[in-house]
Amino acid sequence: MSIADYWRLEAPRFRLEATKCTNCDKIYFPPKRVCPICNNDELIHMDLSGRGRLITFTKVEKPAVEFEYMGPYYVGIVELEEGIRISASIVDVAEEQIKEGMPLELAFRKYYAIGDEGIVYYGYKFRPPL
Amino acid sequence: MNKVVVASATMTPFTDHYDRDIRDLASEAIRDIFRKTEIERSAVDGLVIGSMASMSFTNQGNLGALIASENNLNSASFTVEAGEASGQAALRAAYSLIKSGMHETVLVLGLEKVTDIVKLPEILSVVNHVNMDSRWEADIGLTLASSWAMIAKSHMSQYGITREQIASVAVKNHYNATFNPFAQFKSKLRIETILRAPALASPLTLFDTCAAADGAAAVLLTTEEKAKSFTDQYIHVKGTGLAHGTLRIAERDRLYSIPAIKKAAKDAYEMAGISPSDIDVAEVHDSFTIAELIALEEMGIFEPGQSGPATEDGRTKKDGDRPINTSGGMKARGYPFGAAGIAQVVEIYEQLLGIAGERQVADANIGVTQALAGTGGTSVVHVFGTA
Repeated sequence: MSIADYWRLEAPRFRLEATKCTNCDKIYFPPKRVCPICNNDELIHMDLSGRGRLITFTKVEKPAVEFEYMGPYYVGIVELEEGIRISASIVDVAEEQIKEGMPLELAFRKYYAIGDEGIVYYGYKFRPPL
Repeated sequence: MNKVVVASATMTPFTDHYDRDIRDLASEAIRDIFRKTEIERSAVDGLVIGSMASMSFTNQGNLGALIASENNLNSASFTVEAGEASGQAALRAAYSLIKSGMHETVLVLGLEKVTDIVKLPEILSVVNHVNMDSRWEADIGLTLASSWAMIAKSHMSQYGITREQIASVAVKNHYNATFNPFAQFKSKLRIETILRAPALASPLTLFDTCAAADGAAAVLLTTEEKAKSFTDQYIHVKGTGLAHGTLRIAERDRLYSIPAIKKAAKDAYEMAGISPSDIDVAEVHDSFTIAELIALEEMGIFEPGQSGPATEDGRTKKDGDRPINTSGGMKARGYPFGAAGIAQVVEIYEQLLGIAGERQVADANIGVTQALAGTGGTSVVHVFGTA
């Protein structure tokens, strides 16, 4: 990921900012610049609630190189209150605690850094509600 | 219209070729095509290469021009990339070049040099980023293995299949590979070994997936009329289908099914005028054990939920009633990504011509290949026949 790419992604990565079509009201996350149903480019920004439930999950035992530092870790599919499903890392949860259907909320966490002196990437993960 | 045929087929062994680079592998597969077949290099007017990630693995792009010029091929040349399905997508492009009349004879080369990256987590990073939604899944920590693990969980709970039934895919493919001299692993594998192997992502272990491998595979596509001028060893390309689904696994309605496979198979079968019961032998995508089970169901070879029990019962072994991955599949024949889709055609070519040796399936007249990128981004299906 480049620094410019990281900058472009700040809003959706940091606070789940989606876009909404002003014509059909469909909400897009990941955000889209153009609604492909209406061919409308007038989309408004909106923050998603950050609340949802866990649809399914697994534990990553063999991470790719960027995430080796935090393995093993949980990933899963989260259904947000707005009905949107996203993939995310699930954190602050014990082996006996994690289960399908459990409520989750947005957490702001480190993703990874490239090299010893590279920029550190942050973004959303999900945790049990505090 | 031109009838398109496969008039020659070959592959290098699939393994970690530390002594060969991407050019060496390509030149050896191309050499074997011209050794086996009574045709001059000058007769090849097209070269289509299927390669998944040569830039990431070897820092070399534009393989079309490179391989053509290095191998004395004065042909129109380019590369097709469709993730893990690149080889089969290249075949489809070559087919359409001949069918349209633009070219007469096209060499299709599947090519991947992986092991110059020696650390597995670095290879995984490339494979994940190519085949998954790079920004919204691979970049936040999902892996292909964890995606397949969630699919396996969904399939197990939907149909009540067992962990042992999933593992039996790898047992079967290793068994089949013991009869394939070009296979990476010619050793049998036991269910217990798979279940006790280091975890990848629960419920899947290291032995539910493939090892890193390098290799090249090549097939020569031409018109039936042209083929008759230099060989009687050819099979027909009867149908082709390609379909896509969302790269983001989170957006799939039902994780236990992969609609792209069903659509690609339906289109290919319709074009060929066959139904799933006509298939005598098939090479399907088994990058993970669970992938083969789902492919067989989406392709209509077994009813939903029945491929696990059928595999456990030995029905998909090379000597079973529905032989699948007689080559050993990606699991045991080996899986150099872009090359694998063409190696599938090499196996079907040998099966339909009756030259598959100890792997030979009786009375094989219709053969099918199926490739998949990621967990359902792209699937490509081809149907081949003896007539």
